[in-house]
Amino acid sequence: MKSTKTQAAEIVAGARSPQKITTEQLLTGLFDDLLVFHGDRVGGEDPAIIGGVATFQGQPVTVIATDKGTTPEERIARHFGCPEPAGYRKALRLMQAAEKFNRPIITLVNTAGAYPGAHAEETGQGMAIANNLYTMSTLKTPIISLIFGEGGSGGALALACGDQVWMVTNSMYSVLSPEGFASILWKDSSLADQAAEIMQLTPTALKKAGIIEGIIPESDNPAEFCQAIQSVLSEQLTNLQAIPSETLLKMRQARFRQF
Amino acid sequence: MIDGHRVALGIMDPYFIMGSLGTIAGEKITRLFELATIQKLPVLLITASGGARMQEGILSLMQMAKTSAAIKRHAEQGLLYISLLTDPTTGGVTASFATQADIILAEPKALIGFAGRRVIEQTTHEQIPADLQDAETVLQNGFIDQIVPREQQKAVLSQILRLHESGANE
Repeated sequence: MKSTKTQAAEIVAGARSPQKITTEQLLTGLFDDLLVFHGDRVGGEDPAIIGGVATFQGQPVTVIATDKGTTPEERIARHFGCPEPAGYRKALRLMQAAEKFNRPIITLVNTAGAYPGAHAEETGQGMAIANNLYTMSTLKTPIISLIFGEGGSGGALALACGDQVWMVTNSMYSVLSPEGFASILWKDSSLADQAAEIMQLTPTALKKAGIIEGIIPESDNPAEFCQAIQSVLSEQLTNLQAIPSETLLKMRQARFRQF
Repeated sequence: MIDGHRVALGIMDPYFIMGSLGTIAGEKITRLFELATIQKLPVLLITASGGARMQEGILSLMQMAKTSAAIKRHAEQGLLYISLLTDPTTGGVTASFATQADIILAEPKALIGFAGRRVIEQTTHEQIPADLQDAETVLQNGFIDQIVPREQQKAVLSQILRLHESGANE
């Protein structure tokens, strides 16, 4: 029991580590020719989500990635990687363009969750997430997601409700943070480590529960790490692209229907 | 039946673990939409929820995706979905089926939002306006079709159902 506890808390720390590979490093390492597009076409632009078109092993793909930023200024502008409604709307309109132009979608997720702020509420945080879940459920193109740090609740799910979800060694995916869990259920956020232990938020636990497809080994060397991600994405994209879209959508629905 | 109009009806109960969305609640809502899709019925869903049921962990989160997919399939048949948001409708429920309806109604003064007030204030270190998540404010911000007091709900629902009666794809 004791070793499991230590492991879960360590994975939470690893998922949030400042040494974690950055979104920029991942984008550079995995893709060529990235062309970034801005704006939600409604009235906002949220830098917490980077979206655009790039080539992945020679093939055009749509890329959506949360970004925590690296400098203090970037981190503040990005709400430390917590998207506002404009970010989810930008992601959705880019994903709809991917469907139109028959490009697969790759999402890279590392977010503590959707940003809880007054402006986010005023501009429809709940509805923005709801629209993504709704529309992505029948988007006629493969969607693969990688959670490479934090996968925080609905804010992560809104970018990871497609055909496959992969995680890396030090990553987590949960309905709320261990601190939030401890604070609400035990009225003491300092019990976060114990909360992490029972929350089943580690990649291993989630793989066992059938929530994710698999775990990609993390490496301190960005090139090596990107290579490992690339080989998984490449193989899985080939598999998904061979499936007729009607079957793909049935499989996507069944993937969530089982829960 | 509402004034002779058949409707598939779901009502969330806030007196049971704050109407939180767990696997059973998610399954019931999913089956409601699946049944309505087969029987070509409109759905009326009356929501009240504190959000995802965190005690059930990641499985409660998956209910958001599961219900959304069922609602999308219902919509693709040209069938009507009305949600009626009551006090409170928050978190994962606001971020899924509550706001995916063709017509979104709310009760006066109902609390409607994604994040809780305490979480927002602790994160931003700012006081938020007292009425930020009131139905009236949410309507002004453009996310609700109408606010309908309880005594008028039957008449309004009946009118909506009547106006949509010949709308479904055959």
